[in-house]
Formats: sequence, C-alpha cells, structure tokens
Amino acid sequence: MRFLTHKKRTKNPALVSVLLFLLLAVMTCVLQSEAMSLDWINLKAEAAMTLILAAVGETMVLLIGGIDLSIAGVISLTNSFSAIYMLDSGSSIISVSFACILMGLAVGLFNGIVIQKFKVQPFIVTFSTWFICGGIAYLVLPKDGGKPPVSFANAMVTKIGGRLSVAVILIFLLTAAWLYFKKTKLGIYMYAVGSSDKAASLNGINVFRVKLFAYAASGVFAALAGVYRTAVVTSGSPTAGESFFNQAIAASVIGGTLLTGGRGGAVGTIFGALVLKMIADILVFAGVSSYWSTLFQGLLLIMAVLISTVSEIMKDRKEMLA
Amino acid sequence: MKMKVQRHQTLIVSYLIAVILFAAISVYKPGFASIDHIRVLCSEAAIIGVVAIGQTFVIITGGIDLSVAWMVGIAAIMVTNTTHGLDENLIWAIPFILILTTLFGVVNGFCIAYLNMPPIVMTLGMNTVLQGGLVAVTQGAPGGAAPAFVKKMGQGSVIGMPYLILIWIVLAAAVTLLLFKMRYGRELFAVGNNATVAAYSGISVRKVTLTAYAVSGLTAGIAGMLLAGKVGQSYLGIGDNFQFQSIAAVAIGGTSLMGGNGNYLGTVAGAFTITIILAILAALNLPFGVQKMAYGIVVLFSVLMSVRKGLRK
Repeated sequence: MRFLTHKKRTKNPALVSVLLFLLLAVMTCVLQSEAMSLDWINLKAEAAMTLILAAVGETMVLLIGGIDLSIAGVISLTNSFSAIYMLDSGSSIISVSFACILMGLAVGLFNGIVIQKFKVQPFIVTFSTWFICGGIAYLVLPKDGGKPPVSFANAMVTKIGGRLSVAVILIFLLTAAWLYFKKTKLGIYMYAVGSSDKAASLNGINVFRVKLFAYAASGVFAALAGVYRTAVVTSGSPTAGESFFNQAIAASVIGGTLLTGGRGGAVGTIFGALVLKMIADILVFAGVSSYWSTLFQGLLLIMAVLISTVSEIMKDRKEMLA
Repeated sequence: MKMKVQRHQTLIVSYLIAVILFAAISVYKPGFASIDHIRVLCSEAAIIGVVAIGQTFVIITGGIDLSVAWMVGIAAIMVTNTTHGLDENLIWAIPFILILTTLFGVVNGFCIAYLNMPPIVMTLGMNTVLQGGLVAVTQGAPGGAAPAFVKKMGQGSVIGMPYLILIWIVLAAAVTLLLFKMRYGRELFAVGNNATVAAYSGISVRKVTLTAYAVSGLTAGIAGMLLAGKVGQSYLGIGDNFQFQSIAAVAIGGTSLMGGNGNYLGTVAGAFTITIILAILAALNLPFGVQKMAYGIVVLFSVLMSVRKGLRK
C-alpha cells in the first residue's frame, strides 16, 4: 500500500526560480534604485530574450529526456544568415526570418530522426550538428559583422502602446502559450515520454513523434533566438551561439527542469534565464571584472545541476527510509 | 584465424580508413608522403593520441569528458608561465601541473560518480570554469616561451625518431597492458557494459568511474605540456581543438560511445585519421568553416557506423 501513502510531488518545480527572481529583483531595486523604471525593465527583457528563446527550446528536449547541443550552432547560423541577407524591406525581413526558422526546423528534425532511427545518444548527434551548423555559419559570415536593416531592429525594440517593449510582451505570450500547451495532448505526452518512454509507448503514445516534435521545437526556438539576436545586437557573428548551450541548460535547471526528463517546464526556464541575467548584472554592479564572468557562468551551471541531483539523491534516501 | 579477423574487424577498418585517406592524398599531393611530412603528421597525431587516452577510458565507462580542452590549455600555459621558460623550474612545475590536472579530473569524477551529475554537463561546466579561471587569473594575457627541455620533447628527435612519438608509443603500450591485462581494465569494461551487474560482482563502480576521469585529467596534462613544447609557446585557447578531436579519435577508432567496449589501438588509428583529415583540409586550402563542417560530418558518420555494428551484434 506504499503507493497510496506516498506523498505526491505537488510542489511546483518553477517555484525556486520565481522566488530567486523576486529576491534578485528586490536586491536590484535596493542597489540601483535610481535606475528602476519601465524603460529599465524593457531593456532587461530585451537583453534576456535571446537566452529565453534558446532555453525554452532546450527545456522541451530536456523534458523528453534528451539534450540538444546544436542550439549553439543554430543560433550562430541563423544570426549570421539574417545579419547578411536581410534587406530593408518588409518582405525581405519576413522571408529571411522564415528561412531561418526553416533551417532551425530542418536541423531539429534531422537530430530527432537520426537520434531515434540509429539509436545514438542525443549528445553526440547534436554535438556533430552543432559543428556542422557552426561551420556553415563561418562560410556565411567569416567574421563578425553584417548590416541588418535598422527597421528590423527598431521593430523588435519598439514599444507597444509606447510603454512595454516587444520582449516583455513576448515573455507574457510565451508563458501563456506554455501554460496552455502543457495541458494539451502533446504536452501531456511529452511529460509521459520523459518520465518513461517504455511506459508511454505501452500506453499507445507514439514516442517517436513526440521526441521528434521536441527536437524540432528546439531547433525552431534556437532559430528564433538567432534572429532575435540579430535585431538586438544589430550585427551577426559566426560564434554568436557558442555560450548559449551552457546558459540554456543552466536556465532550465535553475527553473526546475530535471536533466533526466519528465519534470519541469518553460515557465521556470523563463524565470531561470531572467535570474541568470540579473546575477550577471549584479556582478557588474559589484565591480567584478568581466574576466571573471566566464568562471561564474561555469560555476553557476555546475551548482545549479548539482543542487538538483543532490536533492534527488536526498529524496530517494528519504523515500527508502520511509 | 577467421575468428581473430572478425574480432578485430573494427580495428582493421579504423586503420584502413587512415591508410586509404593517406594514399589518396599522396597521389594528389606528392610531397605529402615524404619522410619529413610523415614525421610532422606523427607528431601531431601523438598529441591527439595522448589526450585521447583519458578520453578512451572515460568513454569506455559510458561517460564523456568535454573538459580536456582547457585542461590541455592550463597545462600548456602553466608550463610556460610558471617556469618563466627556465629548465630548472621544471623539477617542481611538471609534478605540480600533473597533480593539478589530475585533481580537476578527480573533481569531475567525484561529481559524476558520487553525486550523479550528468557527465556532459559536469565536464562542460568544468571546461567553462577552467577557461574562466585561467582568463581571470592571467587577466586575459598569458603566454611566454616554453623551457628548453619541454621544447626538446616537443620538437626534437633521437636517431630520426621524434621524442613525441617515443613518448606516445610508451604510453600506448602501458595503456593497452592496463586495459587488457590488468584488473582495472577488466573492471572498466564491466562498468561500461552494465554498471548494475558490475556492482553486484563486487566492483566499486564509483571508484572505477572516478579513476577514469582522473586518468583523463592526467593525460590531458601530459598532452598540454607536450603541446607547449611542440608549439614553442602557449596562448589562450591552445587546447580548444582537442575537445572535439579526442572524442572523434575515440569514435573513429571503434570505441562505442555507449560504453562497455573499445580498444586504445583503435583510438591510435582514429588519431591518425583525424590528423590526416586535418592535413588534407589544410592542403586543399579550405576555409575554416568547411573544416568545422567536415569534422562534424566525419564524427557523425563514424559514430553511426560504430552504432550499426553494435546493433547487428
């Protein structure tokens, strides 16, 4: 009868990141009270948006128990491509963005199919596609540069109703979309596959299709991140995406998503990404040399994952004793 | 005999790939097969091969070590910086560097084996920490010349045989003995094959795993110092290529990335294949982007091939 007395895990995994976010927000308010304004919030949201998009895609792959390193390559590729080929006209902006999304989709589908058809571990396949995409990025744009149209950059940082920037609206839209998606059939299937793909398959879920969807979504989100970066940074770089894999994993894990799959979600990830950005800001404010920022990034990634794995070990131990 | 050929099929295929590639490019570029150039290629393969020793161990356990890039980098930079290019400082510098990189490996291994960290995230995080730490400590401007002795090991040769290759042969022999004739080697394969079964057979799975990562730190340290000697100096990012190259060498050598089987002699072939591919790409004057793509494609294909073989079994 143990399964009846077993305490259900009702705690929301996103809770930690939301609390961290609030704590950091209060800290920033106290430290930089003169800087606080709606404009400041808009700026911060714009700075975090690229990471948010990349990390939400990564979260979907983590949920089904996979991992996607190729987001780094896809971001570099789409960032370089859109920085070079986008012209200053509405039709060009739309068609180039669409082409980038298709690239991301193609990479994601390729990952999903190869991983499952050949039964290779996700990381080695996505590692290879990272390099392939990164290589193409170098061919498209050998060194940092490119002149994306000003109108595109302006459109992305425009204030809707003169107050909130596109990024803030996007954060709300993404949150709402995820909360809806979670309850759809596909969303529920994703959690089921992540918890146990065998059990999911026995229950009649098409595991192949669910996993394929997750990798495809990750590719598309990475492409969106690359295109968004073009607008915010107003240039391209063949190495734009290099650090995003680290950060996307860190954001997901801080947001309560388990690397083993089946638990977590995009809302936590969004707050996780915001937390990462705010910590970076506070470090700058505290006068920590930028030389140390890479070190903190790595430590943060390790600490975030460590806390989640150690707490799992503790939980297992407690359950064993109970 | 036929059994033997079948058992060593992967190994033979690995060497065949290297030989065919080499023959093909030699026809196209006659200078490629000159003794001098072969010596250069062997020296380059040696350093990849030494990094790949630890990588082979780790991959046999079913893990992966992405932190070799900056462990190599730290060893290379420290052997030039802390010694100020003077031989007499090597007496303490070499042991110090080797202990340090081994310790990094131990930290990796501890977090992975005892705290259940996923290897890929742990070692990637470690790589970032090492990179950040080194950049912070050196304020972004390391460098310096390698001491004469290190340079001699990296560039010199005795009776036409580069020291690098001699060192590699000695290490390769030791590793092969360790893997196939000693208890630790058998335990390593057992852990990679099935950790649960290994644990029930009385093998300390955690200790064996931890040791594999420690070995990876040690060999990355050795390779880093040799690399500094070969290049004659050090710079930030000197080890970056080894992250991918060491994994590719192991994968091309027929060691399954799922763990549980493998052979360092295959990795040796993989190191040669990678070196030859690199030399071909350089000889064809291809842009950096194509080189990067080619890496990705080569690794993907070799991994798919090794997995297919596994499935057929």
